[in-house]
Amino acid sequence: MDRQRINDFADGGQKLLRAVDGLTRDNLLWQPPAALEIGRWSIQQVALHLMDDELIWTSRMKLVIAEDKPKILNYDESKFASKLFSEEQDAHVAAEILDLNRRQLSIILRQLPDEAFARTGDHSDIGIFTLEQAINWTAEHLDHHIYYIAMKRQKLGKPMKE
Amino acid sequence: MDRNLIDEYEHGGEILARAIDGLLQADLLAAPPAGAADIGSWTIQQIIIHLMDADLVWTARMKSIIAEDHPQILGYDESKFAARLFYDLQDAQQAVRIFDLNRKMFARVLRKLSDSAFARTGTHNERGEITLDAAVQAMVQHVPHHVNFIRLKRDKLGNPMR
Repeated sequence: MDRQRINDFADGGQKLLRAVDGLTRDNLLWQPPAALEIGRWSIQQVALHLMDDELIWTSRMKLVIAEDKPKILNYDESKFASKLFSEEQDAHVAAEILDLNRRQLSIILRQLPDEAFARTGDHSDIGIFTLEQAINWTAEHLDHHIYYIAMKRQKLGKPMKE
Repeated sequence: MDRNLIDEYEHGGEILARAIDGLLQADLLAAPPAGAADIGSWTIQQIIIHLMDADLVWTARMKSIIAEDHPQILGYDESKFAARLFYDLQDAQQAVRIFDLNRKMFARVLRKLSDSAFARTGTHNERGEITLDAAVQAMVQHVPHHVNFIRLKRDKLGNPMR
């Protein structure tokens, strides 16, 4: 396990904080038309999805670390996005939760010996996965969505700052 | 569904913040004296991190109960979490902040639900069928249960709760 990746993971929440910084509620709730091909979710929905997904994946990582080959059940992210009133929530607070939660989990990750990153969980849809894969997927997932937020911000005339 | 319960749920993080206010790191990590079984064997720090972990797990479960139909819920081993997730090295203040923000965010979801939604169920592999109402109640009660032990530990430390 490349330890620098843990540092990058720990600091990743800052990307989401920057991605929603300076946006009004109207900006956050703007639903991009399909024709734009920049993703159908509003930035608010993306931010809430990221928070929900990160909280679930960090709990899964804790299971993989603490238990022996734990079973892990999938969840329906589309139903979460459509039924959990994401438009009523606060995207900036969601980003703060994601950021703090990553920092807290990173305290654990930094303590682990190299072999711990090969520990596994058994996911109902994905199958066997390692802790290292879970960290990588979670990091890539955030970057994937930040890319789409950046495109939506361009269309809103509020490009992301470097 | 008694809507006051949602207010209690929402403010649980403030109770936790007060419970550790004025404690030094040494206080948080002080092992209760041997033979003082009545005040519990965990350190205050372990209790705080346990409460954060449990709340994050249960929030995800409640989201599944709201968004999905009769989801399956798998138990986790809280003793293994406490023993293997470096609870003593985590950041108790940050844990309380995560706990507080997460509850305040999820309380918004709970407030939007109709009364009938609180009868929605999930099936826990150890506890059996559980309603959303029962899950919220369990989380509300989880805080004073542990804060009572924190109070007893603080009395023993000579640093009583205000």
